[in-house]
Amino acid sequence: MLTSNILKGVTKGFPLKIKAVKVENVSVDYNRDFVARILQRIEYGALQSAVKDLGLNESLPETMSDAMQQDDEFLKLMHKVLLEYEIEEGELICPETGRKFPISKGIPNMLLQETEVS
Amino acid sequence: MSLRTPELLTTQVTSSQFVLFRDNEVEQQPSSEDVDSLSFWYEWIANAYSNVDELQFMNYGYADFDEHIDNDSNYCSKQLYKEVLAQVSLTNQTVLEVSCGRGAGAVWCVDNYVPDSYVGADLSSGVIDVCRQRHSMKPRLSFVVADATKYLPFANESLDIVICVEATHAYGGPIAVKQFASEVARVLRPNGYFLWCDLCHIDGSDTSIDYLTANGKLIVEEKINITRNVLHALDIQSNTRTQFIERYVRPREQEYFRLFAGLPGTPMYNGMDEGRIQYWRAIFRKKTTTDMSITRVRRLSFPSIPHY
Repeated sequence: MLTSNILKGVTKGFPLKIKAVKVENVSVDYNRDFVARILQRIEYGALQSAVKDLGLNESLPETMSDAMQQDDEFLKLMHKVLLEYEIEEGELICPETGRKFPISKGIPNMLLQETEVS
Repeated sequence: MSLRTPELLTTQVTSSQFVLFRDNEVEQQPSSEDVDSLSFWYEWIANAYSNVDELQFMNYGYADFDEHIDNDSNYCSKQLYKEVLAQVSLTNQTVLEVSCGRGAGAVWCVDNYVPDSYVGADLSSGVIDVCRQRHSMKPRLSFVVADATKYLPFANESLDIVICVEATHAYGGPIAVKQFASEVARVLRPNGYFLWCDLCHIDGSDTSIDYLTANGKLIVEEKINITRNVLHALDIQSNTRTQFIERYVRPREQEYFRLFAGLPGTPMYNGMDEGRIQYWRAIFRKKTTTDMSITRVRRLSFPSIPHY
């Protein structure tokens, strides 16, 4: 989930919509400092959309305030959402063009056809 | 191990009846247009013997001149990453490695520096599959299939560091390398670093560096000719690699592996030894707007005005 928050399509193409066919839950050791730091780089709105796209049973607060970024409960939720959901099969879809990038065995394939590259 | 120029490859293929073996033992005959394509050969080598520990790194390696013993077959390859990273720390940084191959370098970097996130990208979905199989348990490390000479799937100024080890010579010429450099400059934040090393084929020793700086957005902070260190690494690894090839590689493929391994006597080794080919590493910094204005000031100012 963390990777999908930084990938983008060719021009503006962010955030990519996620269509998941197979999602896996993995267990990752919690590192509070790491999560707190990584949150600075996260597009929170995009993360909310991703959680919604995947239909995950996690309720994220509407906005992410500075105070929340120190809150343990929130950080643990972010850890879970960012690191413990792996999209094994599915698609990333560009919001501008509708172009689909397949995800297979957890790997997004962002290659373009010759005709798509300007 | 590195890629050959198309001329060398074509010669090699026509002189011996080359048959592709993949790990699932299915034979495939390359078509005549396939064999001219570097990406075809890269894909082949990337998928061959992909689960063999000794072959997880695909670079030539680097050795200090006082190193003589090759105990760990991947030691010199790790040293090359260490040299390329130089004094730049990856700790807490967002890192992209382009042409990450089998991901062994990525794992080494993640283990030694603890970046916030490290994405390995490669053109070959086969090799990224190897990365996935072997390295999917590392939470800060992820992989993506992408063609860096077309576009990198990252937002502008979103990465702290981009790494590229011994790969640009295979990107398909100046236009592709320049496009790659533009993409690197685009995704790096201002003052972000591009850490690079590669063979520079000789018509001019820093030809590749010229292509990488052509767009004016990447400034060379440091560039070092490490040819002799790479040759030394090839020397000290040559026995181990020769024995490995003889013992484990199918006879039909051995010559090809010898070429790839840059063993003494092969064209790449000889080229470097004789000064016709050089191997450089460099640190590039993404320009900031401040850099640009200093450049303008320097052009306009008189020599007596001090630089900042």
